[in-house]
Amino acid sequence: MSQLTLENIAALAELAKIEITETEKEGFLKDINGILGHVSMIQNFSTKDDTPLYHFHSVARSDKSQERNFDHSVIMDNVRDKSADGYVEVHKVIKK
Amino acid sequence: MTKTFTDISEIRSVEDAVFCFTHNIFTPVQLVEFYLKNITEKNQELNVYLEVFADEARAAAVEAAERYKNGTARRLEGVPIAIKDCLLVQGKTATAGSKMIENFTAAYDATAVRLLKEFGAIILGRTNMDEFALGGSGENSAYGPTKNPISTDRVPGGTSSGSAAAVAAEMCLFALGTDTGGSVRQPGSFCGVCGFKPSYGGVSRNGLIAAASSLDTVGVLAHDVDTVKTVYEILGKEDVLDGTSIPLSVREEKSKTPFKKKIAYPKAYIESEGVNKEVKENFYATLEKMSSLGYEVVPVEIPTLDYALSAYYIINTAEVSTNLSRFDGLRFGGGDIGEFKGYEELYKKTRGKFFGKEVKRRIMLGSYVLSHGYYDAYYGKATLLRSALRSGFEKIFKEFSIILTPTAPTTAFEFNAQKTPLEMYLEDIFTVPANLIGIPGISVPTGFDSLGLPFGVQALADFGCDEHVFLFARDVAQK
Repeated sequence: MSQLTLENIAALAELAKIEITETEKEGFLKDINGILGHVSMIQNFSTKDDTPLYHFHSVARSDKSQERNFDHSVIMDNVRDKSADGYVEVHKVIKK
Repeated sequence: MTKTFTDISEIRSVEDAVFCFTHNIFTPVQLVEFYLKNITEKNQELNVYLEVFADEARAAAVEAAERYKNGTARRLEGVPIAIKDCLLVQGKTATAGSKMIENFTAAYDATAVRLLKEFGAIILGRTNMDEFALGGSGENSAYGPTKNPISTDRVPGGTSSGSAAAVAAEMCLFALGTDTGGSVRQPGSFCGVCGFKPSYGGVSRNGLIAAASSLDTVGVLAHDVDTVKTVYEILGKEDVLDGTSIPLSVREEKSKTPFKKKIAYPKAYIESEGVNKEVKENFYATLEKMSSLGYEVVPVEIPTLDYALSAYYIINTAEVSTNLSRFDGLRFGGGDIGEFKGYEELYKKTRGKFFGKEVKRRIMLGSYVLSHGYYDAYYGKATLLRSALRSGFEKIFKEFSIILTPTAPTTAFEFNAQKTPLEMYLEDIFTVPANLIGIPGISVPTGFDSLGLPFGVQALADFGCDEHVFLFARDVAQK
């Protein structure tokens, strides 16, 4: 298994949507290469066993309103920024 | 019961507490005050509780005392407990040990929490944990590490670090934790208490902040197995709010499986490099003890075990990367990140600032093993291994009721032991198989090493046969 490079780590951080510093990049490179060095042994595993892992049963329910209800005030307890008229306020991220 | 109680600290089980309350030996108020006193004295140093609900606990204790007076006491009436900070308690903060959701207020009780409340348990507070249940030592909390009460220069284990330490330090009677790869069993072992992981789907995950959804379970930490069993009787119920909850019919069917006094142990795996010499000696001594108690003890081979740790860290990181993708600073989590331009930057800066190192590492690893070109080689293979591992264990459970291993390859290690992430992951070799295949397991304390640190052995049973690990654990605990 070939080792990752700093570029690969940058690409992973991009995929994971995490902003990391150059120093962090070096650290993660070392860590992740160490871990991948071990877990890549899974590629040597092969089996003819195709037993399904799970016993499936349907948990689909009827399309009716659930019993659980939450008061507006209870939901809003969780909200960092609220408008005066009871709306959730979030950062503006949509461009005009 | 014929136990006598002269000091309140002798209350070590639910049975003890209920007996004392029923016979007016001690009151619920006294027991709550006993734990609150211990918390006041020890929490600053040990960092077990992130928040203590002292006023509510005291009020609940008064109500509990009333119920014993008028004969309406419920099964866990007046029993003071602790809840790991990733299980929602209505109206209370839940941080999952992270700064990402530092001020999150739970709008509802997790099913497990609701059930404990319904049976009269008193919640003393929320306990510290490794961030988003990722780690294995108690060193990865954004709110500082928890210390092992047995030896404060040592880790308590993780990720249910606070819950295990709370029981060990007499800061509650029992605690809820969560076990995704050993996070109840291993801290149980390191802190010298019982740590139980139920069958996957045994306890509802409704209201549990998810780490890895196919691996997560809600578990119990206590001094004794009878307390664990009593709690599981209450929690182990089908829940419509959890689609993976084991149906009642399956529970009933599986409970008919007879218990055989036959133990299998994967000898070659236990002889792995990295398993501490004293841990091995203690394990073999336990096997001898079980023999003398009439158990048949047989070494077995489970070749697929060699791949279990790799499969685990592939599946865990993959599922974690997905579950944690929701934290974007807009819909979930975050805080002040200063200036930013657009959603992408908000997303990346939020996660860069508010996630800890281990969390970032796992998300990136998970992204890698799920990415185009690598998915089959890593995630695909890991899933195949899961099925094969399950088949291998099922074959053994046809003949044996218990598979036994040490809980961890070492006893509690020192803080800042300079372990690489890989070395940390290798501590999980004995616990991850149970999560991969959904079987129940319990860690039982089996003595102390030459430094006075606790040993633990782990008993595993077939899916749905949680009762078997309780039966076994009771026998192990015999003097």
